[in-house]
This record gives sequence, C-alpha cells and structure tokens, in this order.
Amino acid sequence: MNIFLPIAQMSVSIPVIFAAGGVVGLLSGLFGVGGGFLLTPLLMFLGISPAVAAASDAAAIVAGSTTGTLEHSRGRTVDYKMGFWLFVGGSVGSVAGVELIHWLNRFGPANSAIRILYLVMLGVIGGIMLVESIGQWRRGAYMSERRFEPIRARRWVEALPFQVRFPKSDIQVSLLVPIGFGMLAGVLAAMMGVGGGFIMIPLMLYILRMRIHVAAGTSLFQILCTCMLVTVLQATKNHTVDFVLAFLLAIGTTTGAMIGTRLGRRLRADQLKILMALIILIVACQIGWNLFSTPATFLSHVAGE
Amino acid sequence: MNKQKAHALSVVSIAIGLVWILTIPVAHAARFSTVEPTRISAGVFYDGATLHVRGSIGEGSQVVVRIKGASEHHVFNRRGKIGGMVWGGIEHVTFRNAPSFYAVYTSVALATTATPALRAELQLGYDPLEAKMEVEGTKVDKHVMITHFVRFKESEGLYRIASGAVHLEDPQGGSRSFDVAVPLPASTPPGDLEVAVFELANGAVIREETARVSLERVGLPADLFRLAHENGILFGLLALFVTVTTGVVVDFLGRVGRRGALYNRGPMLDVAADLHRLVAEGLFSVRVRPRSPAAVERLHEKYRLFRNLLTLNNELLELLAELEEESSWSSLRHPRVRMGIRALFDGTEDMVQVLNQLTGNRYFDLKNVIASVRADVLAYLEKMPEREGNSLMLQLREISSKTADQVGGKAVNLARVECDLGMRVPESFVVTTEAYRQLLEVEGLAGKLRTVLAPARLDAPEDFRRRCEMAQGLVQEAYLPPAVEEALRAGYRAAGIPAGECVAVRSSAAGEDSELSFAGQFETLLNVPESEVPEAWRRVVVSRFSPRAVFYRRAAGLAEVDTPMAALIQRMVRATTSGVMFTRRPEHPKVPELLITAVRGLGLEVSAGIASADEFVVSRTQPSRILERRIALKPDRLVSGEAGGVTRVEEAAEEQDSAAITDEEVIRIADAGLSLDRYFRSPQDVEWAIDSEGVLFIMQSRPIRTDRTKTAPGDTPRNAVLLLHGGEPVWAGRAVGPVHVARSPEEEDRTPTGALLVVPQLLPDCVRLLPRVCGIVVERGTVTGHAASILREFRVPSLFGVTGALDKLVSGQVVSLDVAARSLFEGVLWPELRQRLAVRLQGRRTTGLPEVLAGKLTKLSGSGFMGTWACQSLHDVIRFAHEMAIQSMFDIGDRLLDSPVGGVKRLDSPSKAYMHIVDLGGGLRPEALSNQSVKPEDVVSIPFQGLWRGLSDPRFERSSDVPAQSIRSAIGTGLASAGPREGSPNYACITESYLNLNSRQVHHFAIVDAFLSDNQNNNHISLRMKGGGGAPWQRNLRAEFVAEVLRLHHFTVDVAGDLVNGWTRGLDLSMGADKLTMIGHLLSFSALLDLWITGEAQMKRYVAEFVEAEARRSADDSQADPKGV
Repeated sequence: MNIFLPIAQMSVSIPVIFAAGGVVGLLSGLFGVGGGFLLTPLLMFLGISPAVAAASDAAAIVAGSTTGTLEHSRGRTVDYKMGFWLFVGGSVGSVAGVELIHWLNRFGPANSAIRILYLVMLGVIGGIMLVESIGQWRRGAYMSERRFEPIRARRWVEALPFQVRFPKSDIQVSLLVPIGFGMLAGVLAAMMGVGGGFIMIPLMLYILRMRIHVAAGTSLFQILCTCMLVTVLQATKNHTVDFVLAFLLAIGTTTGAMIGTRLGRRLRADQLKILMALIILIVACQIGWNLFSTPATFLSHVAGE
Repeated sequence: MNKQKAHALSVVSIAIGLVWILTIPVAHAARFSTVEPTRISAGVFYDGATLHVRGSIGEGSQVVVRIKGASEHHVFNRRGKIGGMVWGGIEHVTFRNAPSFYAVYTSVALATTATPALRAELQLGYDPLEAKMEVEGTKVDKHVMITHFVRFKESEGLYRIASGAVHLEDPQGGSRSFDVAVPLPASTPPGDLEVAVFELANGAVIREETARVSLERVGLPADLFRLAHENGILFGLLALFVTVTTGVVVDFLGRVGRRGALYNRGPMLDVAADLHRLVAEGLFSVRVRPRSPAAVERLHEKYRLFRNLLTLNNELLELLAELEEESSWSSLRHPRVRMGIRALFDGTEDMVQVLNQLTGNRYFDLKNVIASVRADVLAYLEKMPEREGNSLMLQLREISSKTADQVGGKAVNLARVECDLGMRVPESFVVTTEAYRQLLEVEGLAGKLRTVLAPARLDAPEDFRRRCEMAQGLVQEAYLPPAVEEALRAGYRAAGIPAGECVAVRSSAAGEDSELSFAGQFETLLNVPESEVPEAWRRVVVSRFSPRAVFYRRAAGLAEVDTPMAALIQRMVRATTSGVMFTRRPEHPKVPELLITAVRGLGLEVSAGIASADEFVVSRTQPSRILERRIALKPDRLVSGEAGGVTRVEEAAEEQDSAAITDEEVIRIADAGLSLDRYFRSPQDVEWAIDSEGVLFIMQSRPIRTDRTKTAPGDTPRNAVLLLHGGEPVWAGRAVGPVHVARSPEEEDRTPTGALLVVPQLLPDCVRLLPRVCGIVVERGTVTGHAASILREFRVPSLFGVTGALDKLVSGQVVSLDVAARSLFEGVLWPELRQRLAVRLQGRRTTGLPEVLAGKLTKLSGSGFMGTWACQSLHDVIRFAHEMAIQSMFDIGDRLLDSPVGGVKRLDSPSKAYMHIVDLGGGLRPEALSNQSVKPEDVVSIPFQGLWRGLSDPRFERSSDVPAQSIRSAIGTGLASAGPREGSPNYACITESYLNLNSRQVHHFAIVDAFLSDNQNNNHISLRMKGGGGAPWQRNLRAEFVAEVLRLHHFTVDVAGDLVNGWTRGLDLSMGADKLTMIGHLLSFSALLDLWITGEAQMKRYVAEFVEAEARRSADDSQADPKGV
C-alpha cells in the first residue's frame, strides 16, 4: 500500500510510515521527548530528503505531543507555566542557534564540534542516570518518587533574580532558569535538528528538581509549542512540510504516544529512568557512529535549501 | 473526491494515450519505435512508472535508448574527516548542467557499439555528461566529485547505464524487434523526459528518433504542492490544524476504546481548566521575591494550602459517602460508580499533593500507597464477570459454580442435593437473576425503585412501609418482558414438567440460604397453574420489596444490587405429609439430636412457624432412634386445590391427634437429613415432603445458624425476683430492658428502642423490629420457624412458648431475661448488658461496595497514625492527610517567635492576657485592619472568640492565689501573667474560622490549634501544654489535671511527663466554640497551678471542681445566649 508524497516527491509504503510513527510516538509518550532524533534519521533512511524529513517531523510531532500533552494533562502532570517559559526560551534559542551556526561556520566546522560536545553530554547524562536508577531499582520501589538530591548548581540558581513559583512542579525558581534551559534546547535544536528533550528532561530532574512524570509532561507541552512554531516557519520559508507524510506519521505518533503515556504511568519512576537512560545512550551511540564511521558516500543531501 | 478526480484524470489521460498510440503509428508509419506512455500523471497513489520503448531495427543493427531529464543544478554537502577524527559536512558542492534523470539502455556493450566520439556526440555514458557538467564550491578534483555524484544518483535510481540490457528478438522478415522497460522511480522530478532511440550499424547511426514523455503531478499532490509553494503560511497552518486534530481525535478514540473510561472529563475542558488556573495563578506576573521573606507571607501561603486541604478533605468524605450510597444501587460496572471511584482517586492524589506542599514533601510515599490501592481496585474491577449473555433459565443440572450467582443460594443447594447426593427432588428449573435484571431494565424500573426506596429510613416505620408498598406497586405494574415468559415456557419443557401441571414458585435470591438465610423473607407460591406462572414469578419479585424484605436487607447491611432475585420453579408434589427437619436442634446445637416437625398435607405453615405440628427428636446415631415424640393437635390440613392455590381441609376427628408420619418414615427422613448434614458439612434446615406413593422429596436444604456462644452459668443474684419461668430458648442470651407488650402489629411498631418485646406470636416480618429490641418473649410459636431463625441470625435473646407472658408483664416494667435459664426476673440484674445492646443497635452499616473494594476505598484500617505505611485504604489516606496537615499547622506560631515581623497587631484589652494577633485573612473586622492594636470585639474569628471568652473570664483566674515566695518564678510563666505586659507575647494567628495560639515562655509553653466552620468534617481542636515553673512532680500533676479535664470533655489525650497532648475532631460549630471556651478557662485556671499544687488528692478535687463549674457555666451560656460572646 503505497502513497505519493506531494512535497517529498516520492512514494512511500503507508504501513512503514505508520510503524515508524508508532515507535517514535511510544518513546515520546514514555519520556516526554519529541522523538525527532529518531524520526528524522528514520525518514532519511526511507529515502526522504533531510529538508522534508526535518520539517514534516515537526508537524508529526505536533500531533503526537498533542495527544501526549492531553493525556498528561489528565494525569495532572503538565506544568503549563513552566512549559510556557521554556517555550519562550526555546523560540529565542532556535532563532539564535541558526545565526550562531552561520557565524561559527566562518571559523571552521563548528557543527561537528558541537556534535561531539552533545555526544559527550548525552553519554555522561545517560551513564549517570543508568547507574543511579539501577541502584534505585535494586533498592526497591520505596524511594522511587523521591525528588532527586539537589546538585551544586542549585546554589547559584537560587541566587538569581525574578524568582517565581511554579505551583504544579512545586518549585520556586528564577524565571531566567527555564528561559535559559529553553534557549539551550533551542540552540541545540537549530544546530542538530533534535528537539532537545533529552537535555531538557535531565535538567528539569536534576537542577529544577521536578518529578519525572511532571518533567515528561511539561517537556511534551514545550515540544508541542516549539514544533508548532517550527512547522509554520518551515512551511513559510522552505515549503518543505509534507502534509501527507505528516498526517500519516501523526496517526502513528499519536497512537504510540497514547500507549506510551499510559505505559509510562504503569512503570515505576526508577524503571522509567532506566529505559530513559538506555535510550539516551542509544542516541549517543547513533551520533557517535555517524561521527566516527566512514560513510558510504561522501555526498549527502543538504538540509534546507 | 480527490481520488475520484485523480482516477478520472488518469482514465482520460490513458484514453488520450490510447487514441494517440492507435492513430499516430498509422499517420507516421515511417517511425521504427514507439514510447509508451507519453504522459505520466503523479496522483495520490503514484508509485513510479515504467516507460516501454518498443520498435524494430534492421537485422545487422544494434539499438541504443537514451532517456534524459532536464538539466538542473544540484547542491550537495560534502562529508570529510575533520581533525583527522570525525566525519562531518565540510562544504557545499554545486553540480551544474546535470540532467535530473539519465538512463542509457543498449543491446550490446556501449564501448563495442560506438566510438568515444560518437558517444560524446550522442551523449551516451557518464563521460560525455561529465564533460558538460561544472562543479563549484570545492577544491577536490572534478572527476572524483562527479564519480561520487553519479554514484549517489545511481543509488537513488535516477541515473542508470544498462549496457546490453536490450534484448533483440530473433530476426523475422529482415528485422529484429526490441522492447525495453525503463523504470522511473517515484522520486523522478517532474518535467519532460527526452527519449532518444538510435539504430547503430557499423559504428554509425542509421536511424534516430526522439520522443517526449511528460511527467506531471495531478490531483491532490499537485494542489498541495502548489499551495505549499504559493501560500506557505496557509499551508503551514493547515498542516498544524490537521495534525492537532489528529492528535485530539486519536486521544478521544483512545479514551473511548478504553473500558470504563467514559467518565473522563473532556480533554478540552481539562486543558481549559488548567489554562484558567494558569491565568489565575499569574502566568505572566513575574513576582519578584521579597528581599527578606516575611514569615507572615509564608504563613499566609501555608494557611492557604491548609484550607485547600480542608476543602478537599470535606469533598472527599462526601464523595465517599456518595459512592457508598451509589454503589448500593448501581452495579460497579455503572459509569457513575466508576466515575466516583476515579474522582476519589484523583481527589486523594490532590490532597496528598497539597499535604506534601504543606509539609515539604514529607509524605511522598503516600503516592505509592494510592498507586497500590489503585492497582488493586483496577485489578478487581477488571476481573468482574461480564453479565452479558447470561441465560434467563437454567435447569438444576446446568448449575455450576460459574452460574451460581445467577440462580441464588436455594437453587444451588437443591442442585447439589439432586446431582451430587442423588436424592429425589421435584422436577425443577430456575428463572435466573438475568430475568430479574431484564424486568428491572424495562421502562427504567430500577431508577424508579431507587427514587422510591432510597429515602426510606428504618426509624420512620410508617414512611418506610408506604415506600415499600409503592415499590411493590411499581413492580406489580411493570411490563413483563416477553423473553421472560418465553423462558418460563422453555423451562417447563426442559425440566420435563407435564403441560398443565401445577408448580411451586419459590424465591431464590442471590446470597439466600447461605450465610444469611433470608428465611421467609420472600414469597413462596404453591400449586400455581401453568398459565399463572409468569404472574407468580412477578409476585416473588414483588415480595423482594416487601417492607420486611427491604428492612432485612438494610439491617443486614446488604446492597440492593447484591441480592438480585432468581426463582425456583418446582413441580408440585402431591404431599400426604410434609414438614421441616433441623439436623441439629438449634437451641441445643451440641446435643447429637435432630428435630423433625411434620403435618399432614402441605407444610406451608410449619415452615412459617405458625402451625402446630408433630415434633420428633431423633438421635444422630446410626441407626437413628426416636428419642421423643410430641404429637400436636392438628385440626386441619392444607392441600393443593384443583384449580390451583391451597385450600384448608378439616381433619377427621380421630386423625387430629394422631402422628402425621410413621416411625419408619421418621427414620427415613432422619437418615436423609444426616447425609445432607455430612454432605454440606454443617447443620441443615431441610424442607421435605412425602407423596402418596411414599416417596421422600427434598424441597430445600439450607444451613442453620446455630448458637455457638456460651452463656455464663448463672451469676444471678439469689434475691432476684422471678417473674416467669418456662418456654423454649431460641437464642440463648441475656437481656435487660423495659417491657413492651404488643398485641397487634400497630403496637409492635411502637416498640421503643432497647425494649424487651412481649408478643403473643411472632411473624417473620418481626425483622423490622429487631434493631430496636433487646430481647423477645413469645407466648406461642415454634423454634423451627422462620421468625426463630431470624432471631438466631440477629442474635436476639429470645424465648418462645412462654405461656401467660402477656398477662403477667406490663409495658414499661424493667425486667431481666435469661434465656438459658428460661427465666424472667424483675429489675436490672446485669447493668453492663445495656451498654452492649447500644453497640449492637448501632451495629451494621450498609455499603454496596464489595468487601475488597470497601476495604480498599472506604474502610478505616484503624491502625492509628503511626506512619504512611499504616494506610491501607483511600479513607486511611484521607484521614491521615487531614491529621498530618493539622499537625503541620500546629507549630506555625513558632516561626513568628523566631523572627518577629511586621503585620502583627497588639490585642488591647483590660484583661491581663498579653497577646499579639496575626491576621491571615478574614479574622478581623475590616475597620480594624489598619489599626496597630485591636480590641477583642474587633476579632471575628470564631475559634478565637470561643477561646477568648474563656481566657478573659475572671471567674477562672487562680493566679492571685499564688503564694508570695513563688511570685518571682511565676512571672512570665503564664498566659495571664501578673505584671503589666511582661514576658514574651502570645501569638494568635487567626482567620475567620481558624486559630493558632502559641504561648512560649521561658519555662512553659501552650499551643492551641483549632479550625471551626459549618462543616463538621473539617473541624478540629488540638491542645498542647508543657513545662511550668514548679517542681517536676508538680508539673506532672498539673499535666495530669489538664489531661483528666480534657478526657472528661471527650478529648483524646496523650500524656508524657509534663507534656499533654489533647485533640478532638469533627465537632459542630457551637460545640467547638464551647469547648474552646472551656480550654480558655483551663489555660487560665491551670496556668500557675504547678506552683502550688500539693498532691494527687488535691488535683482530683480540682478536676471535680473545674468540671462542675464548667458544666454550670456551659448550661448558663446556652440558656442566656446560645451564640455566646
């Protein structure tokens, strides 16, 4: 069962697209990540050009994260206030990221340097999470809803101005913190085409000390906002949003996200964290593979035109 | 639409193509090749296309087919090693003048057919392409780049050189035909493709033809492509709309698909509520944290949380009550019940969340408790049996453990008697509970019944009876579902009851004849003709709503949904004799004897316990022996009427006092009884009948509730005055209470609570009286009747067959009944019994929730407040959260003492008490808000007013009695310190309904924390006192004093050394205020008590003195002005 994609200018198998969307949606629902990190390479593997893949991803993630956010909203695990400010930071960050890349590229291949940095960061975060959560798991579920111990960074975080209460997350923190985190994620998104959920969630867990379920819900909400913006921008500027592809993916991602969210609620926090850590490590491996293995061809499509 | 359009278009284009193909070759007969198709439309389901190039060439020639797309420029990222380590994009490379599609097909290898010059001329192969292409943006060699470029394009299927791929047919008529299929991948860019066919011979072109194939988008893809490029924003928004809609729709479907999820609030509503809260909380208001966080502000915040928690507490308690009520009327499958359960969980989670905010996340593991309770509840609800597809009618042999709950206990027992024991039972079948449910579903009958019955209250007998009668009327008039009548007819055939034969219709309610016997609660109809069976069944159902049956269910704590009605339909036995057998004598369960009662004809009145019958006591030994015969006078007998119904026939004079059954029959019945007893492993109450041929039928068998409690051998005082002696014990026990003699049902209804009922005979509807009586004395009646089994079930001390009781006893006279001794004494012999009675009368509570759910949701495990681990049900969690919230509020005053801040007002009063007031909202009159000091009458806080009334009362001040030498140490120790404004102030945090008084002096502290509102659920008073200026033993004595007073005022008290904790919960507003006044007095009175108290005796005297004064004061207050102040 094939269908012709009008913007991508190619024909794809509908079940394959469904399946791809489903897998990504499942992860998205489980961990509150957008899933772009997985979807873009998947689509490119299916032969869709990166520009279209990246733009249509964003649209598909809108659907998935809508479902996820709704589901989380019912579970009361979305901090809209936090999400909003993260989004503000994220929008600024992604615009800044594009400019930053242009600027950095004048001095050399900054992109790859950032990639390496990202790889290291993911590896470290994933490793720490894995070790910690396995330890927690073995001690039993008793402590699983415990807030994570504050790390040193909290000291200066507490000293920042514009302190605001986030009742849902039950924290008080400077407004600059979510905006800053949002920007960080935005820059990463712009540079690497990933949503930054992977950075965001650990930051929320360890620095903001949010609970993992709320962190996931909030991250999803923020991703929803960001991806809506990206979709419109891509459609306006590059005309690379493939409507049909996005719709097909959306059905997959939404279904997956729904299942994932429910699954997530059934899992204990420590189990969820182990899975999360594993996925982060897998992404790190994928990036590492791309960086260190000799490619089959020395040419690749250009993302964006 | 679009699909159709695309189809239409493709049909048209194919038609055009066909016409073209059919006509052109005729017009240009000179052409040696054809290309097909010449138009390719990329529609919705376009998946690439195949070009067919066909033709024929001369015998010695070769053919070359070249297909080329328009020249374009292509931009690529070149990847390379960076820093000798990692791979990444290095630069953008542009390739100019490269065709979008390029394919060459030849019949032999290209190199052998054409010279390089010819190849270059004809543009065959990659070398000629390379020559025309330009590469920009890289310093790498052009040839290398183009090789990569070609490899990349080949991998996409866009470039291809197929040397020798054209197959030439064998020569035929001097020419060879060929047919080349060129696949075009779906990713081929749209535009014109040029197809050139060359016929080569001896290295030269003989013939050459070109054709154009146009590749274009049509239908939806074309429209979308155009829209995307012409109006990007609109396209983007459209994409957003579609994806968001998909998300919402899938979410909705997902919830609908999940069972029991229908009660979810709409997602939009949810989000809207969240967004509203967001705006309310000030999403955009950046509240800059104050430089030094004011303690008062924190208190505000804390109190706000506390109030939220109280609101939730009350909502949840109400929800629990509603859920219990709802679940006793609706099945657990009903969305309303599920919604209730869900809301309960949500609310409890919220409450725990608030508690954790209040306490700095101290009770985080309550969430795990909730989660595990939720998991258990969900698991239970999942496991609940489906009730769809149940049959309306079952035969005895079809009854299995699976269908047991559809046929009722009576039918299950009978099926076991027949199938397992092989005893003879009448031909029978069961109309299942499903038939009952279907009847109740007709025209919303269930709802109507609920409306009528729900408000019925046990303590309003008139109204109760009226409502039950209304309910019976509703059932009586309900439309009988045809399926039920059909099932009855089918049952007749299936059970092998001959048509026209009369039957007995007996109730068989779920749960009947098991732990609870329901003895005689429901109607049993004998000798019903076939045509009247449906109506008879209806009458059995109607009897389910008789006042006594409804009452019985209420009293036994059964929910309406738990006991659906099934009916057992039995062929009528032509009984010559019938009766009842108890395989243990109920009044002497330990004695190995069984009891058989028998009458001639039908045993209807024997089982009802109203007819006099022959009684045989038989030993339980093998073989059985008849130990005792009591032949009664039987003036008449009941027999089946010819046209149905039961008629009474006068007995011949000589038969009236002869035994109804022979000794041999007695032994047969006893043997059957013993095997039933063995089989069911419990004493049985058996109804039996013997027909004219001497066959013994078992009509039903059910367990007897025997008296297992031991009665203490009489410690009856010797001087007790015996009023009556004799009769037969039904349930051995003792009772003390005023006599109520009732000769008619109306008089029975007037029985006061706690009375000893004396009646001439007892009908089974006595059940409505049982919650009110302490014991029953009956003049006539048999201990094997229904009324007697009900009395045993409810463990009401009762004595039957006490002749002359009505004449000798007078209503209102207080007597003591000792059933075991079969004696009635004058006066109160065992005062402690009255207390026990009170407990029994409060007794059982109705809940429709199954035990496991009730245990999980509503039952208090009662294990105190040791920790979160002790919480086992949601109710536990709710109560725990409330308690912990109160505790966390307890020490809020400490913070004020630690860091005194602004916003504190001084209380200005003539009294000596020195107090500062912190208003957390609504505790002061608005006019007083701007003042620095406030007067007591400015304070509108209800608990404060209550306490202040006590504190400022001069009558209770004892500080002036302090011996002179103790004055120094007394200064600054009490609330009412002697000197003007000395020592630390006392802080009172108040709101309209809240008070936290904190008095922390050098040696002494006292805290009072109280919340009083109209809502009892939320109210509490807690008090803590410690320390003092006296010697340790004196301080301990004072603590004892305070504790004793509090205990006498129904506080729960905890004393350790000189620390006293006392608390009470759930008082109503005025009572709470009164208790606070008392506490005010207590604080004043005991402030310096430790300085001069001399010993325990004195302490006890003070307690008595204080309590007495307090009682006087309270009485005065309520007389003078109930509102106080």
